[in-house]
Amino acid sequence: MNLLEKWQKWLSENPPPLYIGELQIAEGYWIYNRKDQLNDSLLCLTSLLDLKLYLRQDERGHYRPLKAEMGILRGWKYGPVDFKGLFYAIEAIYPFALTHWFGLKARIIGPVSFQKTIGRQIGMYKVIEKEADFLADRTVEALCRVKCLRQNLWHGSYSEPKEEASIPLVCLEACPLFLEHSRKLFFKKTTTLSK
Amino acid sequence: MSSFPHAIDWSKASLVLAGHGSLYNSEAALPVYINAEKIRNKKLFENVYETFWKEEPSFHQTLLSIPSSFIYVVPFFLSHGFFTAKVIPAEMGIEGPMTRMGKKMVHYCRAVGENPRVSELIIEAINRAIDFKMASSILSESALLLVSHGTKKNVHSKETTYLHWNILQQKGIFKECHVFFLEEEPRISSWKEYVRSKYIFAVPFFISEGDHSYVDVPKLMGIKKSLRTSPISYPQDVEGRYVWYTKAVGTMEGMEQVILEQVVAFDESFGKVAKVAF
Repeated sequence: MNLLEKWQKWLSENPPPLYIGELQIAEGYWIYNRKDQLNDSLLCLTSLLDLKLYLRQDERGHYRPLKAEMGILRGWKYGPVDFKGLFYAIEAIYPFALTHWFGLKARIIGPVSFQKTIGRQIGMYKVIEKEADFLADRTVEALCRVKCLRQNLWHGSYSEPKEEASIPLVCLEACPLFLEHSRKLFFKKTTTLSK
Repeated sequence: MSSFPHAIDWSKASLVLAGHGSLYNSEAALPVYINAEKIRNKKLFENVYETFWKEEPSFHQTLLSIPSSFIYVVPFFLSHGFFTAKVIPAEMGIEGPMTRMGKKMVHYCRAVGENPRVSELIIEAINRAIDFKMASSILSESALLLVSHGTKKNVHSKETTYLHWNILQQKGIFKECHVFFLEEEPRISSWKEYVRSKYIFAVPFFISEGDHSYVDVPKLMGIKKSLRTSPISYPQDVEGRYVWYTKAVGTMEGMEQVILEQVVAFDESFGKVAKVAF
């Protein structure tokens, strides 16, 4: 059974309403911010590209690079789509959210340790290696716990789900924003120590 | 070269468009998203994925997560440099043009900027920028300026800029063809010392729009109006010269064809004939 077939089967056993991250899925299928009511007043996004580009900003119009950051825009809806369209819409908003969840359940994919992520760095993030554990702990506290909806599975600390969910959002590896944050912390610490 | 059988039928393969992206500039990833969607709509591949160095989904997670057995990775970069030669291979575990990863076979194509067709896109963009009837009379009296970033960190970063400069120069469409850089000599700020023509077509040789294409290059050229806030009319008068300034190369019309041609070029290089019309 391939991924889409697994998804179709799971959907048939779990009818809407469904909740993923800050999204709600209604019969039809419609997808929208769970804080909104599904009605005609919502802006109807008509393509996956619209969905990807529209949700790149927050409500103040600022770019939000962390895809699972809390505070996804309100006032939009996407649909109606079939199970396949729904799969791609969810993955457009939360990249690989369903792939990772089904992959974890089937044990064909798993978390990647921070040591492995840092170990393959050859450029600007190589410096993180020098203080990897310290930087990972601090960045998890400052970034993951405060801003991100995903449950971190690659760091030792347990994190409670931040939203009630039919399918949990999981984090299998340090993301680009995590690496950037860690690198900044490293230089901040180095600068502070040298003063 | 691996003897592992490779995909002939694109409909059973996934295409991965690998771009730089940005944690600060939302526009950096747009050409990747837009071109991926254009190709997705052609329904040539099983699936088309966007992936980024500085954004989610990351290079590493993307390749781990794609279920397809055959994967083409096309770097959405203008040159074959640090990112295409080092970063993408390290992040994706790519060991050469073809890498076997368990049940997956990954085909690593050349960067989009290396395709000679990019020169055609530049000419088409310039023709669109001016009145068609004016084109033949003006272009032969004009100077073309390819403006690239340039960096002393990588000797290869300039190669594709000069590749297209050479192609465009040989076409004989423009009276003069020049290359300038932001961070290397000859610098764009000194263009008036080198360029004699009255009519100037400046092309930001960047993969996406951003501060360099919208702010830095126009400012250093002497274009006083802001390109970021609203569209401006052309030509702009810069000390008695008439300047047209195009979109960044990576955002030009037809880039999706270049991406597909890179896949075809890969197939042809490795003994396959793409039987796909696009």
